[in-house]
Amino acid sequence: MEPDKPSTPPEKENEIKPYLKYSGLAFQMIAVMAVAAIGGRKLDAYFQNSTPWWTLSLLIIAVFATMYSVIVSLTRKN
Amino acid sequence: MKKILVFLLSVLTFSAQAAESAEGGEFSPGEMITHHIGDDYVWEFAHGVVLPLPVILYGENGLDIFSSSNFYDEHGGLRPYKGYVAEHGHIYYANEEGEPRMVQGEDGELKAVGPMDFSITKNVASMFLSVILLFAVFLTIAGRYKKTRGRAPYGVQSFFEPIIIFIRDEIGKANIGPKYERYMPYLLTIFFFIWFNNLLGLMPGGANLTGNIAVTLVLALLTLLITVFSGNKSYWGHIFATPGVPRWLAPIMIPVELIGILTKPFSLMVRLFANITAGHIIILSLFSLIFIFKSVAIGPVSVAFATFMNFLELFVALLQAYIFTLLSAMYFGGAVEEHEHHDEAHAH
Repeated sequence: MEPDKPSTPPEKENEIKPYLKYSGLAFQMIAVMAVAAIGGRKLDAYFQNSTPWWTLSLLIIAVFATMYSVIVSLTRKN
Repeated sequence: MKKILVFLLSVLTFSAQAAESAEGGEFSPGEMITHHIGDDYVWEFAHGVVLPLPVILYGENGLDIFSSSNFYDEHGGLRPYKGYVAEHGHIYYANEEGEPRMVQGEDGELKAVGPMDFSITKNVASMFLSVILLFAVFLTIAGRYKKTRGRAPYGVQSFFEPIIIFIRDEIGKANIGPKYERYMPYLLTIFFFIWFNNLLGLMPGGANLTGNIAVTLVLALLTLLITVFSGNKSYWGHIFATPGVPRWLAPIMIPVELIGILTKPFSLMVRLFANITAGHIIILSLFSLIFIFKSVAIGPVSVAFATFMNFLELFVALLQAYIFTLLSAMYFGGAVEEHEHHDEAHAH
């Protein structure tokens, strides 16, 4: 193969790249909420709560945390 | 061309007939499809053309190696052999009646128990085939570069050179940056491994290797390990102290970011597995229509759609290899990137 040459101008950005960067986002949101829900259920079972406070609060935190992390990563430069 | 077409169609429809005869006249598309996309101890190229593969077991009887043809009697039915029995794509210990031995598990449920299975199944055989093919192609190309240094490429070399350069320039350099070189062997390997195996899976009688979640799991795991072990200070800094996020939010953000490390390769695994498996299921479903309706009106429509889908799958085979490689490169790029915006974060 020919030696390394300074080819491909760096400005030629891939148009699909920004979309691909977030293609795994749904899985991340699902995973965070699943962890919160499973952990919450376990904790509620352990403390024998009549109202599942752990599940409720952890899920609400998980929803806001995922949304916050998406907003932070979207507004972050590069 | 006509002869090839007739051959291909007869091969594909023969295997569909096999499902019909096994069911005693009643055609079951679900059974035919799961049989085609699943792994097996034999490699059935077409109806009646079966290659038995070696079975390698390790368990309470020690190491056992024998041909999988021992599990089949002359009518194609299953029978126990050497105290083992094959059922639903797994090998279990057989009891006196020749059925899988059941043992009560910890949760009180009856479970069939079996030895550790290292068999060369259809998928493993197909993977060996693809590895031989990859070695043959790329050792030839490497040899050509040694021999014709500085001269124009020819033959198979001139076909693969633009692809290799594309991966180096558009995937490696564009996403990883100046440190791209050490990731090139991995990126080129997964690209050609996935592409070749996708294409081999589309061949009549081929195995569905990249549509097997265990295979995509290993590929995704390799990407995860390389990402984690090449992560620099700035990569870990973004996970444990994301810039621009208040310190008191760290207990919430750190778990989210840590889960993010795992879900990225998880999505790689599911994407490749689901795309390839879905393509196979669609094509097989279109063929099933012929056997469900048994009508001259449906036949040509089904064949036309299946041909169209096959061409689409040829494109998907390349696309999925490209996406897997591109996303892996982007994750590596994120791990080795030197961020310049720490000052910027302090500024506001």
